[in-house]
Amino acid sequence: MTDETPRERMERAIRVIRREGRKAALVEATVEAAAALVAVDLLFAVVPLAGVPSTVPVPDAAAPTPALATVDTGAVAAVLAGLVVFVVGAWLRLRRPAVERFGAVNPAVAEALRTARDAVRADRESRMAARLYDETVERLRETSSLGLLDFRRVAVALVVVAVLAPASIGATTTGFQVTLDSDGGTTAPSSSTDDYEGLQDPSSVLGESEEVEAGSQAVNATVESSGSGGNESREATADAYQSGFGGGAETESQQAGFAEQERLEDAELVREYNLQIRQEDDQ
Amino acid sequence: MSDRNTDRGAQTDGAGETVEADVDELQARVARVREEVGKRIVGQREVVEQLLVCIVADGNALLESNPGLGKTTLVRTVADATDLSFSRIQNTPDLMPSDITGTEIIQESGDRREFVFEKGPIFANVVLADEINRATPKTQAAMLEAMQERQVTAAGDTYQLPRPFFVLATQNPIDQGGTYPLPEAQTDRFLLKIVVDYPGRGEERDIVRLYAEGREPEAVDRVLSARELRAVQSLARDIPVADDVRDRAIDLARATREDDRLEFGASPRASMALVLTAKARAFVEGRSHVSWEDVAAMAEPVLRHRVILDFRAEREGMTPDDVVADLVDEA
Repeated sequence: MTDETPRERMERAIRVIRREGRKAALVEATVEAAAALVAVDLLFAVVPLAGVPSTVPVPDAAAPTPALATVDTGAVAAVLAGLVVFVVGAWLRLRRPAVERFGAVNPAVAEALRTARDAVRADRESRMAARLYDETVERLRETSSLGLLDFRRVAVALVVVAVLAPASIGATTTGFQVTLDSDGGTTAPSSSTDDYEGLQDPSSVLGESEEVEAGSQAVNATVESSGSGGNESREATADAYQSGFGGGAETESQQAGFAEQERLEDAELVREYNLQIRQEDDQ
Repeated sequence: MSDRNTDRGAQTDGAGETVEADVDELQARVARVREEVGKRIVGQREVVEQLLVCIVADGNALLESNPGLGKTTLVRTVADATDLSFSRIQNTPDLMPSDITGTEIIQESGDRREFVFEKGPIFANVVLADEINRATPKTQAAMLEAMQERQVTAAGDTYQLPRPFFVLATQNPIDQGGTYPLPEAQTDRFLLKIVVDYPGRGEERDIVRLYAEGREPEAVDRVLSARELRAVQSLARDIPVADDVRDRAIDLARATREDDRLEFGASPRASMALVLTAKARAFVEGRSHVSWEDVAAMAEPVLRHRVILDFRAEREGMTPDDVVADLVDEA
């Protein structure tokens, strides 16, 4: 060590500063990436996104032959988001030279350090350069690289991770979800124990709204009774019954419509009506 | 490892002699020079600093001041403290170039007659050229050429001026009758233009007390030899400067060429002067690197005589110093 020239000592010091700068940048980027990962994971677990499949096929590395396995979409999106945040965060931080970042947190040595760095780069070996190297290395002993780490930023990211990670696990295990109504607002949290997934949008169920014409065709129907022994004929008008029947007369089939003003907003209500209709049909 | 890597080592001066010099010790001696000058010069701290910077940067200074502000005392004191030879040239319209540079005379020795060169007053380490704008352009040009080339040519022979060599030329800003103002191209040869202002009331009282109340001014010790000064100049030139500081200095000089308030901007020589004087100031301040503060401090004395104000700015009462100060703030 004692054989080192002042320039070599300075070079070593600069290498250490760069290493510390890289470490700080990677720590910050990692913590931020973790925060992004859990945030996206929670988002996918809690908010079901329309049009996004719940699983995606990925190559199965464990399989002996090339095959596809399915993985939860939320997990894939979370990993991708974490990766992107890490890469972008690390790139942005590492783009700024470590010596400048170190100087910013140790202003007392900033100019001397920058000058020494440039002098080393230019292979300066003069007496004044050697003196600068010695002085700068000596002054660097009184500095700290802790300032390179933005503790507030790291702490905030860690708090985000600490809060969101259990929430994400809880949402996944309990199936807690927040659904979006047609206006984009959230409705009351619902549990996913009810697996019913259809008829959420009245328009998709009932088709386009259109004018409903009241039935006006009069049909004479004859109902023959049997087994009672009497010959009793009854006449009924079609007006009394909206549902069809197997009479001899032909009737035009018509899709049920609904008036725009009476648009049903609640899918649950539509579902209830449908269930009731089915029950009546079954009876 | 070479000697240049050690703080204490052999430093070759301009005459090829070696000076065993320690950088810390030399910086301390330069600081002592300032203290010694302070024994005779009251106040004017900035002027003394700029003068020292100019000497350390191996340049020449144009000093603008009204009469009676102690220019001669200042320069003579610096010469005394640095063990340098001193001469003074009082410029007048009838002064001839040979009166400054020297002339050949016939010297008789026994039965032999030969031409010998009689050196003029410019052959000194420190030359005070008083009221340089009173000399004719021809004499001015001869002196400025000698100042630039550091040599004098007479009758086909070239004579080297002593090293270190430092010219302090003065101009009187209020008495312009019968003067020949220096052309801009000539003023550019001066590394610095130092402006001496009137002292404050307290300082003026100290001056009166020092020189008009029977007390003998303190003797000035010689604390820096000519050889050591050469070593100091060489070391100051070697001070490293960060790329960003150097680039900002260059941008500052270039900005004078683009500013609307200036009709004529500074030349690339000004960029060099800015960096050189910043290095010298860093040495005088005892540092091993140049900071932006050094460049900013030297911007006005380096640039003020190298720019010409636009007539509109002049009409608004601006001075070159105002514009340079603005440019430093923006740099």
